[in-house]
Amino acid sequence: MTTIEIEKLNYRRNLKTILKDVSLSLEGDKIIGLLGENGAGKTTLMRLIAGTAKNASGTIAIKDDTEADTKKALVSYSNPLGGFAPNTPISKVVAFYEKVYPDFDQAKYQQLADFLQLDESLKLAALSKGTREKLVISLTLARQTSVYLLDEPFSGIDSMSRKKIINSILKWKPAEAIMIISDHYVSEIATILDEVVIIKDQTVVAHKDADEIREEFGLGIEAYYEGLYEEGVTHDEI
Amino acid sequence: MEFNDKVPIYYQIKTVIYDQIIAGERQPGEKLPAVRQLAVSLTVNVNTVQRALSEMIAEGAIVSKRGKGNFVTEDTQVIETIKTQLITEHLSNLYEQLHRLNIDDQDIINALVTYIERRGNSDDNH
Amino acid sequence: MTKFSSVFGALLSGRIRRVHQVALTGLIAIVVTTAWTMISGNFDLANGDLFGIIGGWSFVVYLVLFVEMARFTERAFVSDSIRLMPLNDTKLYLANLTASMVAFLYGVLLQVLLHVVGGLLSWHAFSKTLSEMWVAHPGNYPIWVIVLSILCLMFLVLVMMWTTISLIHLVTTSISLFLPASRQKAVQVILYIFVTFVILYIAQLVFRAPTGTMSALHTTSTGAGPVLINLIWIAVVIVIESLLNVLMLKRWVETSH
Repeated sequence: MTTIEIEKLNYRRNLKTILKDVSLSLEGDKIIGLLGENGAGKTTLMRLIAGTAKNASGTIAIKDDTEADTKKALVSYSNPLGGFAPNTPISKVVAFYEKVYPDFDQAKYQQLADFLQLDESLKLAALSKGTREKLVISLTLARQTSVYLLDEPFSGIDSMSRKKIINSILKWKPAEAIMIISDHYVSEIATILDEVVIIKDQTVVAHKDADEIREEFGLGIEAYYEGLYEEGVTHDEI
Repeated sequence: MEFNDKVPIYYQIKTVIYDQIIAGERQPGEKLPAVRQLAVSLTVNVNTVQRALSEMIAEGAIVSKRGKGNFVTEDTQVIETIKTQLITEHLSNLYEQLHRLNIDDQDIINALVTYIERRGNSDDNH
Repeated sequence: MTKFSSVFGALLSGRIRRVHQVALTGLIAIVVTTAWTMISGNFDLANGDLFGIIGGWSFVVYLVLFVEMARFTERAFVSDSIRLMPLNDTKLYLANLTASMVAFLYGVLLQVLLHVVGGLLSWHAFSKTLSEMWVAHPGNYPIWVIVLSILCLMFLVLVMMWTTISLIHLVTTSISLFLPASRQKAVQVILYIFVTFVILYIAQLVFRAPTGTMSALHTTSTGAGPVLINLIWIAVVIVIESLLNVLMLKRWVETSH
């Protein structure tokens, strides 16, 4: 059974095509890099998998399940916490998660928070970008699900925080779960990826094993990814 | 550690562990850290570590004991073979590069002996 | 899956906090106004001045609470934190609406307590007003039937206003998915005005059929029938609007990000 099976996914919004004819099959316990330029459709694809974007044609099945609400129980999405008031303390956010997600593991959250040195009493507005991301990662990983979606967890974050976050991912990703990490800057996460999925021109243009790219082309992941983008440079309107 | 992104990561992990075994940093019969622990300390994916281990198990350098973990082989023959392979690999790189410069075999040997002697002296001085 | 009670509790706690803030602000306003009236020397407790001040500010508190609860309800529909919960949209919708209702009623309860306190402090004026009301009521029904009917009616109208606000919000959000992305803000404003107009026009058609409940309460001849019909009528509108709202949540309404 594949963990995520996407078939002929098309998504239009505001009269514009965001994703077209996306078919993708992801299985096993892998860490997958979802790569593409800003605006390529990475976030939209994640939101469609998580069920917060709607009205797409085609199917997204998670463990053979296509029902919107039961699928949500299988996916943990790195919610940027926009819905919380800026003066909400971390402890209140954690209490909210514990209340509404039956799969939220308080003990696991505590381990993550200790490892990432999160101070429970701080309010959301007082957090630096790096600390806020650490909180988002802790909350996302503390749920026990089959799929983890991390949407650009490293954008605008200092290298120390980045390393800590990468380590926490390696330590606490459940062994049997699949994880998708989106990024437009690859080199920092290249070593932890099993596979890469590259989005360009509203669709998936490559889905490959990371070490196969290195073996087959003698290229780094970043060079391979940039190569794919340069091929089509003439199509871009500048 | 720093990886070269152009070379398969599993292959680089293998190289690191083989180097450690040959250098004696990992003794025959020694238990290797758990897969996840190795992954975290190398900042690589668990599956990549698993793949490197599988190949080393297939090559006989690592022995997997069910429920106990992975151990460096106690078969010195195997370690010797890997050592020989590694030496041959390094030497063949050196030889090919010098050979391409039209340096003949005797000159290569002489140059190597001289280099080792000088290197040995300078290392002694430290 | 998330339990109804868990979502309800999670949604309620933020709203209760806001009710406390608003009620406290109202209380401060009452104290300040009373103090100011006392200082200027026009204060007459026996004449029901305190009662009047409480009544005036309570009205403002109800208005603010109504708007605030509507905002909480509508924000929840497009919030990632809430729409990511594993829960079907019907349950989410009901939990959201119920949380706003309960929080509002709690706010009402706080104001009623204030009135009781105010009433006890100026008992003379209070009892006079009560007895005047008692005498003034003209109908054939016992006073508790009238009070109950008015309370029921007010509650249902309140809920209907919220479901109508949701309907306007969700219809606009759904339609704007299919409109061009440029000038979204301007387009949305126009759309809001248009959708509001259409829905209010339909509402006016719907409510033309039955006669006004208030007048029914005062006429002695028609009996309890019209009151009941009105209440049922409003309840039907609430149900229909809610069904449409849930449908839009399921099909079109995305979270904003």
